[in-house]
Amino acid sequence: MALLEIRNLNYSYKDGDGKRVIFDNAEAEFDSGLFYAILGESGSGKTTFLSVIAGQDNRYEGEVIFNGKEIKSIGLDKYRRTAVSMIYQNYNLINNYSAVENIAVAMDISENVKGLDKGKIMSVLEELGIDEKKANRKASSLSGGEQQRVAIARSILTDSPIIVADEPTGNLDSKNGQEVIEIFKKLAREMNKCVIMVTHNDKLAEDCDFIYRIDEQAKKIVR
Amino acid sequence: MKFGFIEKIKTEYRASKKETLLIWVIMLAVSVSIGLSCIMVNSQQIERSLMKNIDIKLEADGGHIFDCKYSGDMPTRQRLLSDDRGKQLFCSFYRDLVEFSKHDGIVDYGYSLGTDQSVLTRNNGELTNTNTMHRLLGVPSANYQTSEEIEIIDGRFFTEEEIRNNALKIVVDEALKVDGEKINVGDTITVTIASLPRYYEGEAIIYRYYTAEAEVVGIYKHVSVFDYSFGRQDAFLNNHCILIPEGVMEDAILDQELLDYNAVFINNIWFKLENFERYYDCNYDFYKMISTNSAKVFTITGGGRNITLGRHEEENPSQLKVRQNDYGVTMRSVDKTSNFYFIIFAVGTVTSVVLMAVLMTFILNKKIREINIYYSLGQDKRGIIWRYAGYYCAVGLTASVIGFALAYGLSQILFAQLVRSSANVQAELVQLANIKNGMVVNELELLGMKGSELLLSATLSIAGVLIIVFATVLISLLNILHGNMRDKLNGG
Repeated sequence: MALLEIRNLNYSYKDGDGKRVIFDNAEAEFDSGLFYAILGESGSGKTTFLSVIAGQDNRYEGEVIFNGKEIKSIGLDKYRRTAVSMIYQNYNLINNYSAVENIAVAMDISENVKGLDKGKIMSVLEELGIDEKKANRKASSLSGGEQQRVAIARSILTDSPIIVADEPTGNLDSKNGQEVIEIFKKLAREMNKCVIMVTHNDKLAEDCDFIYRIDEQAKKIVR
Repeated sequence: MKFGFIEKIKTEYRASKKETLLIWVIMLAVSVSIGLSCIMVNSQQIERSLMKNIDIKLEADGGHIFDCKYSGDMPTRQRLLSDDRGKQLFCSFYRDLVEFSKHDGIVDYGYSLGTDQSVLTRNNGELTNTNTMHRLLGVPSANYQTSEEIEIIDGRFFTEEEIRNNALKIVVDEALKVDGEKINVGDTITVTIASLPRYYEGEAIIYRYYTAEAEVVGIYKHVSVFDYSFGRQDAFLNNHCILIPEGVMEDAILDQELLDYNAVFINNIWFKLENFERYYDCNYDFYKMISTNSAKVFTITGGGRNITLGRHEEENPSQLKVRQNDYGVTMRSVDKTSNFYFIIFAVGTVTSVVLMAVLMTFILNKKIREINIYYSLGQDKRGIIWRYAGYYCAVGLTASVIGFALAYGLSQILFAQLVRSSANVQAELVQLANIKNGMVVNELELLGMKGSELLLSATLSIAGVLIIVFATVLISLLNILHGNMRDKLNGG
């Protein structure tokens, strides 16, 4: 049984007088310890797919099964707290909070973490190249690459088995972007996370274990 | 490392100091407005404080403390008589009405207070329904009809001339009946002041020591009034009252009491007169009589305990000072001013509440991105609401506690200002003072509030701010969180 299964996914929305179908009985599977890429052109439904598997959108039909349970039956709020962690193109940190505070907030919300260990937070941040001084500064004062690392540290420390990244290197230079990809690989292979990255960049996808492509015509996800 | 409620508040405060301080200042303004409204609306406190001030003035003059007791929504005042310097009598009237409680029924085992009776006859025959408590109330001024307690529904009230001349006119309650029949304007009623039964050797004797025929000139309807402490209740005049010019009452009572007891009993206090023989059988004005005869007067304790016929036990005698006063006018002007203040504070409250709600809504709408981040991290909608509600309520709590303290301080200043600006009060204090003018105002006591009243005002004020804050946060966030969050997660 896969960690995350998508079965008969149907997603559509009203578009003027008509209806626009994004997915028509799409299916996919994701496992721990693997690094996946979801490729597709702009507007193909990549972000929609991510929103569905990240538990942020419930306007779908079909099943999204995590560890054998449909996520709607788990409760989307709980699913987001315990199972999945999102990394965004524009980092999604609370600007006026420091790196440590951003992570502390996420750990406080997560049900996977009991108590906050500042030492552990600093240790993970150090590993990702954020020293103590930067860790205590406002997130908005960090560079793009540093902010993305803080977002990754947040995902690591909330201990979610699934990490979903939406164009994580979109706002980064190639050096930083490559470093982020390396971190994702490490997360998958060394920390046994299931890392799912959405990108339109074929080159970045080459580093992944598996690539899913969204077939806009067939409204399906093809491996 | 803990990330409890306090830590969250500190973190949020560090992140949004400027906005928080701005909101805090406006919450402070709301709290001060609500606090002042709660404090100043209670005119009883103002009245009590004013009266206490006057008490103190009297005490400072070396006289007995002027004992002013509240009875339901209306204080009963005492009469003080002149000292040997021949000063004017002091009568204090609440809303220009003085009550004479004619106490009788002195028995050798003691008696209870508060019963007075008048026996009414109508043209021929006697009314026997003496089981009801009728009160004859002496009215010193035609101004009483402007009070809130009666409404003339037929005929008219007394004229000033009638009162001055002790005319035998009466105004009665619409519900009063004689022999089962309603009383009409123009009727002549025989008014008798009588005693409760007095027992001599086992035999009950009723004294009727004042009888006169009086013309009914008006019928009134009694009203209920709202009392801050007791809620809606009958105004002082209930449906057993007969109003009569004050001078008529005084003559009637004085003669008999002087005859019987060597003293007069007024409003629960016996006043003993030395050289009472001078006043015996006096038919002229009580005030003049006392003031021109340099009486030395002592009080005997009120309550009528252990007083037997013909003999008085003196307890706590003390010298008294007297002066004249129209307290009702004073209180009306104070009431007007405090009502004016209340309107100002109420308007201030509404304005600052609206401002606070608008500002908070604006601030929360700016936090949509932050709210979305919490949502994506797995915080449910309820958790998001409590996160912000908790923060702003904590801010509101500090603002409201400090705000109420400020309101209390301001109310003291306003009270002093109110007294200073009231010429009537000033005149009264100056008359009373007999001291250095100008020192009077400085010796004013603060606006006194009972502990329970202060606690209630504080609770209302703080709770009001917190409820408004919570409601604003709730409404704003429900609006933001409405609908599918995914649409609002604009790439985060």
